[in-house]
Amino acid sequence: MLKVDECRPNLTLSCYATHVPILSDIYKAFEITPKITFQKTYACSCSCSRIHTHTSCCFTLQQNYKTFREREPMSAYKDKDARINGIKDQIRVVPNFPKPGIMFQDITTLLLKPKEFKDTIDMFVERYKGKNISVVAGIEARGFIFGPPIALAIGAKFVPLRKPKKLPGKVISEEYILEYGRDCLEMHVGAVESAERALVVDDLIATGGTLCAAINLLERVGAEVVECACVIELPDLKGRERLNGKPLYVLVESH
Amino acid sequence: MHAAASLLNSSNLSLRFASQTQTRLSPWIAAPSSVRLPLNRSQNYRIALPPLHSTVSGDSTQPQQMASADVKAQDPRIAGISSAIRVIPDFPKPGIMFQDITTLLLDTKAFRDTIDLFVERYKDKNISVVAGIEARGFIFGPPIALAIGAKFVPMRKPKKLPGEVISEEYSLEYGKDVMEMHVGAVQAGERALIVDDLVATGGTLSAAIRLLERVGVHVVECACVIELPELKGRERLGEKPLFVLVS
Repeated sequence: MLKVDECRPNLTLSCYATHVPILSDIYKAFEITPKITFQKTYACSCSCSRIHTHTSCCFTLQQNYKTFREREPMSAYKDKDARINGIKDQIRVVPNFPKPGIMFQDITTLLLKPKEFKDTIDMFVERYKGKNISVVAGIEARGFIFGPPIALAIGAKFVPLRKPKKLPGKVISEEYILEYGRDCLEMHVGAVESAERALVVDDLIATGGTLCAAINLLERVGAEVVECACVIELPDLKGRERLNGKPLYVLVESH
Repeated sequence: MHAAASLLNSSNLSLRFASQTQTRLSPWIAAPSSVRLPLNRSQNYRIALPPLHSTVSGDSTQPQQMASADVKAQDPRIAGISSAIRVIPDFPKPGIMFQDITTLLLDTKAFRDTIDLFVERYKDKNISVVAGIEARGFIFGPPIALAIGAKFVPMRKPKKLPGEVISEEYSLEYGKDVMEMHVGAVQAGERALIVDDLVATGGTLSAAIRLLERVGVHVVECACVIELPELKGRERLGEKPLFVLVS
């Protein structure tokens, strides 16, 4: 059995592809071909029970690759649902907005297509109904577009997470870091009760700073954040790693 | 008011509303200050009471027959929606009684009823566009759009929408603001609904109407959860119809 130097639970299966020297050795050692089946299972010496990969000389594999993907389907993109291409095609990229060098992922064009907009909501609803989620928290303002339809369909309440001074009455605030400076996210006191199961929804995850603030707000009142759900992920910005270990589900990746 | 109050006590239908109010009163509703409340619970039912001649029998099994022409005021779902809205005094500044719909969003039945009431009204009206005004219009607009098969068009504050936009300036109590819409989001000849959580003076809704009409869209109606009638927003919309659930 190989030893473990490091345990990084948030690496997804796609990270395998970057560790070429290790992978080729392991493929040779284990006689496996990527994307079909991993034929061996090894226990991890760090004794965590999660399915995860390691960067150094050992990894824990699920015996069957298909089962692995079902256990941690982090992205519909990888699952290749037939609706995904239609959704992705409706997202418009606007260059140099809000400032030069940024390729802005514009979901408003998706909203102009009733079928694809409905497919977007359906994919989230199919994933979360029956999971006892009682709270859908949406991040201002584009999270307000996707969150409420999901909440209504799964029978959860909708909680808006807003920029400062927008919510009347008593709020709790969470500060977070931007590229330049800080911002703040607020939630109503009493909107969410301790031990409620919550979903956080936004249109896009970039660095993960806003989602992280949202998770913190919910956890501060004792809610359990089950998952974060976004339409789009910019994986190069590694937002997934900034979510306090919370899982992230996205429909579309954009590089 | 006194005649109305006695009607409230005598008819079965009105009693049902009254008891619903009492059971649904929640700690969310702030105690009224000396400032006259624009959203007084008993006023809702004063408006909603049916004409005198049809109430005496108090036939609660068929409330629609007792109704005045305004069927939605009789809809039993309205009471639950109204009582789920919380009033916050002195927000955002002293003297303003803020109508907070976030408590409505926490009541899954009332939120669903809110959307259902709009969807039932608009689903057969050939509406292809639902325009929602940032940011609370983004909460009510998309569920309506999805249910009636229309597209959703966000109307936003300046510099939020990427790409080409058209802008419309409008007046605030002090100063001006600007509303923007994407070029090409809507086509001439489309039939549109404008959605926001509340209509006060009607300035924001008027700007939204102008934006859509500038590109040749026919605005069928404006739809809000709440109206503050004393601010006369309805008049500012001119001949454009306005439909509200609670006023």
